[in-house]
Amino acid sequence: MDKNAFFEGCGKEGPIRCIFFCEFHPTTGPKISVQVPADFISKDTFEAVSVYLITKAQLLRSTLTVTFSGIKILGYPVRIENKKYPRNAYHFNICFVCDAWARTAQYETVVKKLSEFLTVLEVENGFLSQWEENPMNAIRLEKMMTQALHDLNSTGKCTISEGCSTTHLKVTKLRPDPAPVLDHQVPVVVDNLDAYESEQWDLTTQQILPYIDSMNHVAKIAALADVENNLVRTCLQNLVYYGVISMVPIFQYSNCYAVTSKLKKLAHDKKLQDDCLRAVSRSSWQLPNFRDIFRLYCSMNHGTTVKDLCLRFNLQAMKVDERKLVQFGLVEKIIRRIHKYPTIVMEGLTGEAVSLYPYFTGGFNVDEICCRLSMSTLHLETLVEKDHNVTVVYR
Amino acid sequence: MDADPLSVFLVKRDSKGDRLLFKYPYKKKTLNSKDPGASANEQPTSRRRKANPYSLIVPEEEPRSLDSECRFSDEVLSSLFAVKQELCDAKFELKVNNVRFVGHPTLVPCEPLMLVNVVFSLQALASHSIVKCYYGLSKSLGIALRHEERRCGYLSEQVQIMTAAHEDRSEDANNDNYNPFELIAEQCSLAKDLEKVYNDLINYGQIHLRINGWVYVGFDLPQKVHHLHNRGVKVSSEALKQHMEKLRPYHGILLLVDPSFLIDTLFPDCSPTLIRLVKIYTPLKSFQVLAADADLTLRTVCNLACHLVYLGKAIIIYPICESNVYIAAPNNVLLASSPLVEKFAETFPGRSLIQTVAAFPFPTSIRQTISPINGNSYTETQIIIWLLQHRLLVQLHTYIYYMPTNKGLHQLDLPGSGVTKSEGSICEISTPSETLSLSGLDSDGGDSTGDEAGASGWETEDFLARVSSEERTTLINTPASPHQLKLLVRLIQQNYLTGEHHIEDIMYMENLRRSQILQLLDKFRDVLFTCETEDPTLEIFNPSG
Repeated sequence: MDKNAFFEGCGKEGPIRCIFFCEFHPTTGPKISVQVPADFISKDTFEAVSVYLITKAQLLRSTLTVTFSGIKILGYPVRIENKKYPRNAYHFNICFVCDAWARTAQYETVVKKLSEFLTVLEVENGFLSQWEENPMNAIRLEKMMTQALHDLNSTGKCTISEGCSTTHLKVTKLRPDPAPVLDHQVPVVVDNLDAYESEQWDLTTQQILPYIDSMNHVAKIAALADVENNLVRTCLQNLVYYGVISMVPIFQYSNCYAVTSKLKKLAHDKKLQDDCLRAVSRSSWQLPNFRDIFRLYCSMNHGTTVKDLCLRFNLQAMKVDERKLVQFGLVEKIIRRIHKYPTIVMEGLTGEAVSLYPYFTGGFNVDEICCRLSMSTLHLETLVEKDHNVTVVYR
Repeated sequence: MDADPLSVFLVKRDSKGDRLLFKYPYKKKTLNSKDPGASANEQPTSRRRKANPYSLIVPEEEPRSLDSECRFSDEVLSSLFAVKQELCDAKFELKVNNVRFVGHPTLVPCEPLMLVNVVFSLQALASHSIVKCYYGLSKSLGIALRHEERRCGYLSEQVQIMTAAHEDRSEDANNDNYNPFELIAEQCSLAKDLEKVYNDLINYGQIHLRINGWVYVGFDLPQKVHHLHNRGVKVSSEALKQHMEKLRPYHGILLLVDPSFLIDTLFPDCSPTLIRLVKIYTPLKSFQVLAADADLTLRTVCNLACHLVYLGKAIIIYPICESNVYIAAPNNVLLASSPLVEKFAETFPGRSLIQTVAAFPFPTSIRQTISPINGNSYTETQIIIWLLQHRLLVQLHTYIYYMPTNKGLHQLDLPGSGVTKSEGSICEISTPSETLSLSGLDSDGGDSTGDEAGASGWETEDFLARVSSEERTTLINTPASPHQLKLLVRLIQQNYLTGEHHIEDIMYMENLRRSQILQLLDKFRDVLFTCETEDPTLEIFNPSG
């Protein structure tokens, strides 16, 4: 194993190394009762950190992660109060141990759920506290933990049954929050939608999905599907989170695009090239030349509109669909849209388009203003042109 | 932002048990709790207007909530931070729900043995590199305290004052209005220092502190200082380090503060070479030239530049020259109401920031911005520098791709790869692949003396023989001089034409003139594609979307 690949802060996820169950013994204090694999955490190690595992009342039922000497322990301390226990309460904590370099936030909910499952078992039939009466329980708990350790590490899922109770554990991938979805953007399906069952989606998403055709923008989808704008945005943001769709700016022949430094990837990555050829071709049986496509992307810059590209090159003969070309570029971030931001030059002065000044703060681009006001780009640009107090920032 | 500390704690443990000696910020009794939403966005977000219960709320910048960890009592916190002896003098990190605590428990060998821990609480979202920085700070504070204790018993004295203040409360009968922390903050210099640490981190991201007026503790949080310059810039110490390894001698630095101001704020015991560099600094010169001017080695200059970048005093740029091409920075929102507009008008009277930025609708070189008739090149350059300092412009570089056939980039036959990709190759077996590596040794002087055939050289022929017939035909039919063909072959074989190197890079590495490359681009425009993008090695300093 390459040691350098795993350092603290590498941001990678790591496997669970050990699961242990610790409890507060009325006479001997905190101790590890069961652990798989055995003796992973020594008694001394445990004692050094037991204050974070069998905790004071204020820290109960919170996810605690403590990192020290190369390991990380995640726990969710629980206390069950009942007169039947020797000190009127029973403390326990089921903990996952990981490497210190690994990200562990994804396990937090799993630990919590497992802990709550054990709480239920304990409250219902004393599964945890009555080992002297029922020595089989300790063995069953160990089995349960072994299964969880194995299943969670290999498949990320685990189903645990004990008596007539069952719980399902799943490690969910944590992703960064998706960017807000705006009314003038266009959702594009990037994942294979057939891989998902339609029942998986909520009702609103099911209502919206048929209208996602890489052409309709959010506001239009809302109108077509007869769903409130904000609901549509929420659903789409959810789909963005799961990587099913990607949001791109609306396509117009008057738009300008510029290449980004990701173009290098297209030049080197064979698979991306193949995907690109398939994605941008006009028909499925005749693929365009990669060189032509690369030339087209290279020709996209701040001063060149899509219309100019169509005039300069014979896209029909190249078998390239310009709309798909732009869309593929945007989704793969090979190109980016050059937005126009009408901005007032001097506050206080007025001009022809004074009614639109609230939108000319420099924070709204032409697409957004047009979408808000249901105005054509051409009309807006003529208005801006006439007004000497408004200038357009391209970026 | 994530890099801001939520609070700072000082905990001790000795024979009398553990105690939270001081925390900052503490709840001030007289102060009414401030409405967390009051200071929020001045920006009119029309999205918020809709009072729809399902509406999507987009948090712009979350107001810092201190409640999350304040619900723990001081006793709980002290029991958490006063760690067992086994965990001392090592990194201590604890995450409780959405708060992360980081510290370096330090054993102080005084009589009796005492443990102190300066703990910072951060948002759990804070990245690993931020946590690491705070750990470093806690460690240096701990070591400074240990040193002062050894030197003059400073820590015991301070601890005594703090403990006394805490114990006064228990004696006081009506202790409702008694806040030991307020008293400590008044009386105790260590508490004042911690208060300063917290406030400086929030306001500047930098700390210059002398514990007990003696031991210097300096700290810099690159995430925060670069964020203060521009909200969109996201750097981390690791990313900066990686970035610095890619620096080239042709890069230069751009100071973000006035050089004379920088010299004034530097520490008296800082390296004299740094002062020398700042004195001769200009954003128009590369490291190489700066090194010659300051009479320092290139390596020293680069190291000093890295230092300045880490401290948030400078960024790396390609030195400003007439041929540089700029566009308006894509992700930097420029509002008409932005304070920058006024700042710009003050610096450059009679100029409007909005119009100046709008003058870059497509890639524009400095040469183009300077009007030949009444242009004042000095002012124009100053404007460019100002815009670059505020990240309103980014520089574009031209990258070249050699793409002779439909298969994409030209595939180099790597020595030892075994399989050659060229088809119709005549002498692929007879040509030892090692000869390729010799091509760079060929002197340029030989070209001018020989006739046309001699000038093209055997490497060119060899290269042509190894490529596909289609490619060969295209190259031979191009009306270029043999020198140019030779240059092209050389650049292809050195892997410069794969989009990894911009023109300036090739010029520097191969000692070429810009005109030579531009001629080449013109002659071989059928096989050489160019595109203008930002330099990925400098992208770290531009705001991300």
